[in-house]
Amino acid sequence: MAERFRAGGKLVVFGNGGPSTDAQHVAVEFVHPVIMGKRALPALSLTSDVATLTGVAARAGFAEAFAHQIRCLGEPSDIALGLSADGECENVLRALEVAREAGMLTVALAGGDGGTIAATGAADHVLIARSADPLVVKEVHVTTYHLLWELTHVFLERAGVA
Amino acid sequence: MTESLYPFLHAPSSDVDELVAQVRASTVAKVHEAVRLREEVFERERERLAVCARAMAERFAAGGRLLAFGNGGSSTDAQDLASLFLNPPGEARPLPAFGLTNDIAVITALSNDVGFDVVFSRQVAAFGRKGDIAVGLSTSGNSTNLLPAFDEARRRGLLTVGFTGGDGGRMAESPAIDHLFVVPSASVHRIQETQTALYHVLWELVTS
Repeated sequence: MAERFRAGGKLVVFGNGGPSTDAQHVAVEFVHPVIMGKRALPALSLTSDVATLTGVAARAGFAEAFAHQIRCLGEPSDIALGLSADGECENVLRALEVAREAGMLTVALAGGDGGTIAATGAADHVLIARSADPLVVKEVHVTTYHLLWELTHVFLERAGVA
Repeated sequence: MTESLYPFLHAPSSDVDELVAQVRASTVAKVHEAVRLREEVFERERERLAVCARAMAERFAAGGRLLAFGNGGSSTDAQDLASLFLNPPGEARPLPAFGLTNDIAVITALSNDVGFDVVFSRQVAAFGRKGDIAVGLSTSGNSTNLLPAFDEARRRGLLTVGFTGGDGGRMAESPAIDHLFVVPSASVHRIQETQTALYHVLWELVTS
């Protein structure tokens, strides 16, 4: 992720239901860091544009809600991060597929056994919180993306090392 | 600042393996701290959580609704909390709840015309009814738009529930908050993580 940011890429984040709020949390984490002195990094939640979300869903179906946005807004140097509590969200899966075709780095935070998202290898990096309880999955995901943010900055600052 | 978080960043070594080993150790330490903090807070707050959940359940049973608000990361927690009640997982009964950060037209109109400090209090005044529940989340307890929202909620007879962090900040001094849960940590991240677990448990207690 640090390499992508260094190359001028941005982060696009998406998820359904509770994880849609996590997508927005991840975006604000990168854009406006809580720790003073950390640089702002470009990150965008695909759940915030309700006009596009409902427009695409009504026209092409909800499965295309995120994939459409990635097709139009995504660039090869970007990072796509999808969240799914059971790993079965079709629109998250579709978005990861489109992102990979576009040359983006793909990351998934899943729960349960990782579901179809883990089984199909849809993402370059799949981090699984192995619980059937979506609330426990969420709690682990929050810590996971807090750490992902911190570690991204660690590797950004140690540009010569990794 | 980076130095205190990751002292090894400033160490002379440029060995990748060593960096990864240090990153791994610091990650494990942070996860242990996240777990320890939850245990500490739940041990201390278990009785108060049950009392708060009972009061919330009574409000819902009498037709009350839940209004949730917060800034930044806490705004996403407010939306998540509201959605958890409104569209719960499994067989739990949906309960009326909504976030006060969902409508960007309202937020920008109030901010532009009056000021950011009123974005929640004006909405509490518009939507809030006696018997409703106001839930505000902050990691510092000092958000200048949360404090007047609690005041407005108290004036209108809403049950008020607050989540804060550190030493509780100004929310800990507010007479307008009926149930206040403080996560004693200096890390915004650890505070948010524990607050998430707290409102998850609160929801379980309310709906069970």
